[in-house]
Amino acid sequence: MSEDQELVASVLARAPGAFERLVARHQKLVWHLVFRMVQHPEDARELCQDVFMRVHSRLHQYRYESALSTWIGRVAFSVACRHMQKKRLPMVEPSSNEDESAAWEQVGDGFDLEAACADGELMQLMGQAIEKLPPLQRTLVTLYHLEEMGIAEIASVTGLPEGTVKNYLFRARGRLRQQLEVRMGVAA
Amino acid sequence: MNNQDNDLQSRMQAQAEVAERQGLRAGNDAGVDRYRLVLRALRQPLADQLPADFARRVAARVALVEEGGSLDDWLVTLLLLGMAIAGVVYVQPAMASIVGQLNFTLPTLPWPLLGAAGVSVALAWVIDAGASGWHRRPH
Repeated sequence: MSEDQELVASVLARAPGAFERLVARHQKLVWHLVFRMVQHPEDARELCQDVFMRVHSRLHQYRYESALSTWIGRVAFSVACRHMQKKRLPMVEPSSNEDESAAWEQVGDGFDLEAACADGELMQLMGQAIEKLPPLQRTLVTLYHLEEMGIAEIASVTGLPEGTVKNYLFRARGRLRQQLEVRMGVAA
Repeated sequence: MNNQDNDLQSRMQAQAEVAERQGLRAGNDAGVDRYRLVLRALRQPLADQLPADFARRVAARVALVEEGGSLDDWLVTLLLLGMAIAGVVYVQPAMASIVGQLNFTLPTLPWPLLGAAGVSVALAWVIDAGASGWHRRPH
């Protein structure tokens, strides 16, 4: 019996502490996904609770067709999407190729990666730039880079085609690099 | 961004990922290094986190909901039982006189056979309920 199966069986059998273990094991993923989507700490905490309440009430429907983390991620994504729709917040921004063109030409050769990473202010600015990405893009980059999920798994969690996930990741990284160029241009 | 530029950026992103994964030295390509900085920023932990006792709190909330649910079931059963008893008590005098006026005889049926079938069904139900209860028990 796999670890997932064992844990799910324990929760369904109402073994003491089993559900708490399930929450503890997956709360980081749920938090990353929900918080990146709604970007509001209080709402995100409430939604995380809702996610796990829903997971508990529907766990008997889990059929082991994917990893438990993927299934829980799907629940979290759907809860976050519903919240965004209720608040009428857009998940993606209309594409604007025009504003993506200019910055690439400003790239110079002199760039010290380690010095830039040690620059607290620059990293803070990068953090702010991530927060300014459209909700879906910042969620996808977080799942990929921070949660280290694969493209197929992200596609399964979000219900997006793999090509779309790759495209969003590409555009998000491009946009962040563009922000970096702008910041460095200002700093220089 | 045109297709050529897209390809270039895509290649640089891929190179940056490989370089980060393998811990390669920086300084060969400023474009790739800039992407490496982006990747490092993306791997930074979020400033806000869930409270340390989040799992315990959620588990307690679930337990509370479950307890509330079973109490609700119990109260509904009690209410229905009370209503049924009250109904019987209410109609009993009228029913007694109606039943007294009736004069019917039981048809000749294979009563022992029907009785045995009834006992078998009840026994099967008890065994089934017992087995379900056993599966639901924590091992």
